[in-house]
Amino acid sequence: MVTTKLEYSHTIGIASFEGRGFMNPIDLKYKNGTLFVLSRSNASNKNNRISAVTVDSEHKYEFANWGEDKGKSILPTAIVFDKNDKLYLSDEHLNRISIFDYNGNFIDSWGEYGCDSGQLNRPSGLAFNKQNELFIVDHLNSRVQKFDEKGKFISSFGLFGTNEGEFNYPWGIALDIEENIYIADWRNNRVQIFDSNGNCVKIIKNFNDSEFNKPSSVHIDNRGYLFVSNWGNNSVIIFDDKQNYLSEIFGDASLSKWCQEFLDVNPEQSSWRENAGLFEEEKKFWKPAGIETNENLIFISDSCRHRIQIYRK
Amino acid sequence: MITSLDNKILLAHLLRRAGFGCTYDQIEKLSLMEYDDVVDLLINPEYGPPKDQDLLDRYFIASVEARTARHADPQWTWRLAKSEKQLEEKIALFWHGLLAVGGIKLDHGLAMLEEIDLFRKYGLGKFETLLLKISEDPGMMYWLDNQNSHKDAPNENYGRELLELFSMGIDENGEGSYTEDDVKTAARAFTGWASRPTPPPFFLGPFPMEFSFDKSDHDNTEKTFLGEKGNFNGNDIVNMIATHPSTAKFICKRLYLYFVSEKEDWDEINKLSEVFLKNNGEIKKVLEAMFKSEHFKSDDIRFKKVKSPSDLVFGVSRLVDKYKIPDLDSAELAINTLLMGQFLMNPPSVEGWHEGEEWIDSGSLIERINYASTEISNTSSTGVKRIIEIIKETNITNSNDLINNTLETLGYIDITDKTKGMIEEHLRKNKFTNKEDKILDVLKLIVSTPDFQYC
Repeated sequence: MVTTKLEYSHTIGIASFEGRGFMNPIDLKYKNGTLFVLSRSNASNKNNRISAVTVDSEHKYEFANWGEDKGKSILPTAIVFDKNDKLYLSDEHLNRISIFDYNGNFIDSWGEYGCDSGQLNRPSGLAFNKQNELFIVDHLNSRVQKFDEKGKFISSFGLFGTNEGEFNYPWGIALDIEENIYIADWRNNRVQIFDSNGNCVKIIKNFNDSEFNKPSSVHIDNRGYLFVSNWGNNSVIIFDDKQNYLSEIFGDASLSKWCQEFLDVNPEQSSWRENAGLFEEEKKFWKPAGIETNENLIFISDSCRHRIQIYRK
Repeated sequence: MITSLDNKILLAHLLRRAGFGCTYDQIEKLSLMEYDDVVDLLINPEYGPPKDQDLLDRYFIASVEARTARHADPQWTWRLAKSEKQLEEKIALFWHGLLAVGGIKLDHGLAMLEEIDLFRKYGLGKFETLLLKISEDPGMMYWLDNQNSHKDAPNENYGRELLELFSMGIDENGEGSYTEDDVKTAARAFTGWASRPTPPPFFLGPFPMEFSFDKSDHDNTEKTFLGEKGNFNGNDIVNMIATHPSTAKFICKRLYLYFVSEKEDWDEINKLSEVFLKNNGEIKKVLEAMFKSEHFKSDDIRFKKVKSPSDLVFGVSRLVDKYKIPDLDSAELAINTLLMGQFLMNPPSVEGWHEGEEWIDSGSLIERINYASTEISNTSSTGVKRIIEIIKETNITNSNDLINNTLETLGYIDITDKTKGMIEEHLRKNKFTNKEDKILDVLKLIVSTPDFQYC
């Protein structure tokens, strides 16, 4: 049965420069009962990190904090797990892919700046195929490159432009079960779908009589449903497995457990919030980015509100 | 008769004052136009977001929801360093220093960015409109405590600064064209003007601030202001002071000190005041008269004004043409102005910054020299490569030629004969393995001179 309305579940997260909470979360992945949330942070505060949390708001550990050393990051953009539960992290300042184990221990890193095959210029979205080959949206080189898990270049497709198969500052990437490749072609305001050989097979520019506005992230769930973060319009668009439009959501956040605890111990802040009375505004997405799903839930990183909004499938 | 070279020298001067300077190639391109036409182009920018706004937001997402002034930095510094509408940014910086709101107390980067954009949008238009808009600016209302100004207990802070620092001003004896009673009346007229409460930023980040007017908290009784009686509100007060002769003199003096010279020249200021009054306080008309005047173009004015930290940092970053798209380095440019004494989006007080020689002390001078010499030595920057290329192409037979050509390529800048002699002496005493090293050495020496601190 096709559902056209998502049911909101709950929210996790709180704005936090360190420890429990997030700072501008832009990507996330769910693995073995744990949600890994990538905080982008900013240049001056240097609070980027990957936080491992549970869906019930338990902060477990964090890693990949600010720095140029191995195991650190400066301007992280995306995370993805390979089939061996290793987590890969892209960093668009360092032009580097870092690899961690499930517990956040650093394993290896690779990548160098450049425009030749295998080189990177601001890597962003990441996705693995069934052969454990890594696709990287090499966004300033306007291409998608494929590497083996050790970082050996295999192939690439795409070039800069607005025509079919061309990219303009692409961002997110996802693969469906048939290994078609979905790219959030950000500045072209469209999602492009490629076959596994990099041939463009479909372009989605419109939904429900509207147009995409800087789509940042794409995600395919186990039903083949397509989720697109419509970053420029602060919404998330859902399509079925035939890319038929289902619905658009703008956010339904309630106070997270961590936010509620913060307000409980800071009554003056709670009073300040009550006085403002912007409860409807508080619910809305502000620059939604990475999307993830598990069997039952949909996780949306709400990057300017420092939280993950969670819906039921 | 104005020669082609004279025109280029004047255009370079104009761009240093009405903007942050430009490259040799940009001057060449502009020199195809008449000087007055370039002035007209500068004073009529088309308001709107920069073409790279989406990239700024993508790469520096924390600046989209800027909770503090520091979080907001990447947004403004990119435009200071890259905007082709140079006067739009320069006038925003002027009003930011005159109608000053301190970022630390306000602690709301979003509101600071809104205020800077207000200066872009209205800063070259009618002063009355600008003054009304800043009086409705939620950040300003919060900064000067107007949310604590009630009809039964007016807070005089905004009314006082509005008259003393934002419009009519006071003379060297502390006297103004207004009385203490006028300050109290202005405060009463602005009761009920405030910023709407927002949730605290500590758990979900900031929410945009909004202006609010509470009619029930507004003093709706008759008042006397500047000798006139009426049931005045804030709009009326702004209307009465915006085109007052004292306001014309005060605003034109501040514009003169910022764009022309640190030494007050009352003949020139009075001329500008007349333009202000004749044109209903239209700022662009004042600037047009200023930039087109022979006084502005004269040798007495050129290279006599100390560069502010922003003049230096964004002037050098434009000269070396380092940034193609926003990156970590461009996002942190404000750190450099901060180290030189100018904390952008956080002026030290409601008086703004004290400019001129006060910018320079031993610490800030070292920062200035280090910044400029580091950037001009970075041969990976597009602008540095181009500077070297242009100098290499010219016919240079001796050190004097090299220095003169380098000064021209850096934007027709002047240094004293004494400084020039010291550089020549340095070149005589040192051997260079190739021409490029020698050019780089001269570049570094020139931007390290005291002369380079002036524009």
